[in-house]
Amino acid sequence: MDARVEAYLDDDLPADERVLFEQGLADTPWDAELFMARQIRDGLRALPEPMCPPHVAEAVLAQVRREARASWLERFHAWMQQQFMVLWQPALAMTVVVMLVVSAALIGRPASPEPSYQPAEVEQALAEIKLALGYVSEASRQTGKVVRDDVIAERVVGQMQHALNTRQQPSDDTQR
Amino acid sequence: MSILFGQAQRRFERSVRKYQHRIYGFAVYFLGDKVEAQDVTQDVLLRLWQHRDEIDETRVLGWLLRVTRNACVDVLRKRKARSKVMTADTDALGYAPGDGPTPEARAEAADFQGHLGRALSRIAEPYRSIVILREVQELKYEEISGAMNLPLNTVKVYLHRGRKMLREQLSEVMHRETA
Repeated sequence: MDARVEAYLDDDLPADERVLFEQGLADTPWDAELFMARQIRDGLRALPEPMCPPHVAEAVLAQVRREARASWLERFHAWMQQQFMVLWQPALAMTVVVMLVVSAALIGRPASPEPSYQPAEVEQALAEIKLALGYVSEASRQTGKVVRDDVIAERVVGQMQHALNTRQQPSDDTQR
Repeated sequence: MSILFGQAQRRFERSVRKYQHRIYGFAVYFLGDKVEAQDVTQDVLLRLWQHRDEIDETRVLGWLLRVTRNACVDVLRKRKARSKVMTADTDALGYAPGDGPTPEARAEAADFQGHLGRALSRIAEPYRSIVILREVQELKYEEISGAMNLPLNTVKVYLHRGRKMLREQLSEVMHRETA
């Protein structure tokens, strides 16, 4: 009978059965049951729909906007990192390679060759120096005058340096 | 990519404005507590945002009601875990005065709604959810079936049982209050 009460309330009974159902209810406990069922259904449908307070939706939307902003920043950061890797990493590698090449060139460069003299040449130079100094000394003794240092520098040391340099020149050429 | 994201955000905002009251209404009648219902609503809407890419737009309502019901069940479980006897404060739900012809009739109708709310909060699950969805929110059987993940016939059977339980509860509540 319960099912028929529900069906009656839901208008699921055919018209002829509805009439029979209504006639059969008169002066029975089901009459009160139907009244209660109808009252409940009408009461439930009349219940007010509670309105969600605005702050609830606002809080949700604010949080979503925050997340969206954070997400945008994260994506931008990732993009920047990617760009750095794509553009800056090769540039950095190139710089390092150039620096290494330059350093190697500077370190491995042969130093300017030291003038190399044969022992005979050195002995000859010493002999010439002695001769020159002896000549200067003898000249000083005979004239009773002292030869000035700048005269020695110009006439003796300068001349000898010139002689050594001109002697060195052919050996540099042969090395090349 | 940011354009798609902006579209998703706007679509979400539309869904929030469209469904917030329905979610909240279900939670209020299920839990009998406005503050808890607000928490549930917020939680459910945030979950909708988190799962926005997985939900078919035509099935949003069913998904929302299912998640709302699960969230409400969790709240009830936590209440029990706290061993805190909470009775639904249905008087605080602010039932609208009835639309009877006289002030007495209107007061009587509001009084009946109060009884009804208390009786509703005492019937077991899943009957309570089904009664709320069908009788309060006036959803179609198919929609309830989708939201509850139950076959259509089962929904009808459960609704029938739920109504019967509600009648019994209401008789008891009214009897207790008149005694």
